[in-house]
Amino acid sequence: MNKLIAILIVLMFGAVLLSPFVVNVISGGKATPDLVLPTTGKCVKDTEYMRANHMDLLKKARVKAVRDGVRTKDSSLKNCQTCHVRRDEFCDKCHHFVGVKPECFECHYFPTGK
Amino acid sequence: MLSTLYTFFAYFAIVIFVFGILCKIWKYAIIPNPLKIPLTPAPTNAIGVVIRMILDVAFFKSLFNSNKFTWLGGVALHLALLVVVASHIRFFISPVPEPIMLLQTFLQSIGMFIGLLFIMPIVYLFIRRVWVDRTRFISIFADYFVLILLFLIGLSGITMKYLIRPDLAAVKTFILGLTSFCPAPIPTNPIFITHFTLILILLIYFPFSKLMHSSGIFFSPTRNQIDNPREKRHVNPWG
Repeated sequence: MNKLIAILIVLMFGAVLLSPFVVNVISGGKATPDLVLPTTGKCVKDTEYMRANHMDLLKKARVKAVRDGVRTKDSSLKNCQTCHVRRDEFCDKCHHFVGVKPECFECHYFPTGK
Repeated sequence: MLSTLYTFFAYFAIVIFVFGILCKIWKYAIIPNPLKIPLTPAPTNAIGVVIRMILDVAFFKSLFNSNKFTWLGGVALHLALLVVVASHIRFFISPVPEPIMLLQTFLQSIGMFIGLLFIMPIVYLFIRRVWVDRTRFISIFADYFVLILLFLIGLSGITMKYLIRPDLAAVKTFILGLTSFCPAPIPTNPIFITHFTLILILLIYFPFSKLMHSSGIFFSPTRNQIDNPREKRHVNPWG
């Protein structure tokens, strides 16, 4: 009887610990967001910097605009839109992939193509 | 090169962690109890034991009864651990489940505090360990090691969130690669590599350390026994 309970507990624990493996092997674990990248134009910073730190640029631009009343053209959402035309094909892909929810689009319009 | 090294290191750590814990639980479960020793006042039926266990595991009731200051630090640290682990689920499952998304939105709104909530209790418990004479006297290297390890993990995590950010999509690709057995290259951010290394060390260390209290608590005879020695005779299995 005790052994049976022990086996059950061990199995349950094992199932919990190994669940991410099971889920990802079964679902194939879609491993990268498939962005639609613009073919022309050059970003305000290099790709590596933008991937990790684009929010800093936007936040700095926000503080400048709201606190100091200085509108910067370079790092504005509008400037992003000139190359990255649709939000659902660019911004949303990574944000959904890693599970972050930026507040930008609660006020700012960024076309989703719908 | 680094990716291959870390892929092997990660699988090694996970195997040690999972099978180490399972072996330990198995050992705890099959070792017989020679004596009936529930800590009185103890519940006299099975439901009571379950309630006692929940109070002990979720709210650390015994610790609350014995030392309020340690209880405060312990509860804060474990709650923070729970939230931190829950918010890391988003790197292991694609697409991110809705409840985790809600948690994430909430955590974003309170910003820096969750990282601090994790770091501060560790510092508090470390100071307690050094400050209180009796505790310092019984502390060995392992007691400090766990605290320092968790502290460094938290510190590297906060650094990644606010100072030296990695490419999060690459991080998730790497983690999904590991968990679906199609390894992807490890992100090059040094802080991420540090964070990841420390986690793997923690995973390897876990089954052999005092951290096994996480599963051991369920098997402690003073907490999980029913107080019915007169109603039901307890026979020593080897007596």
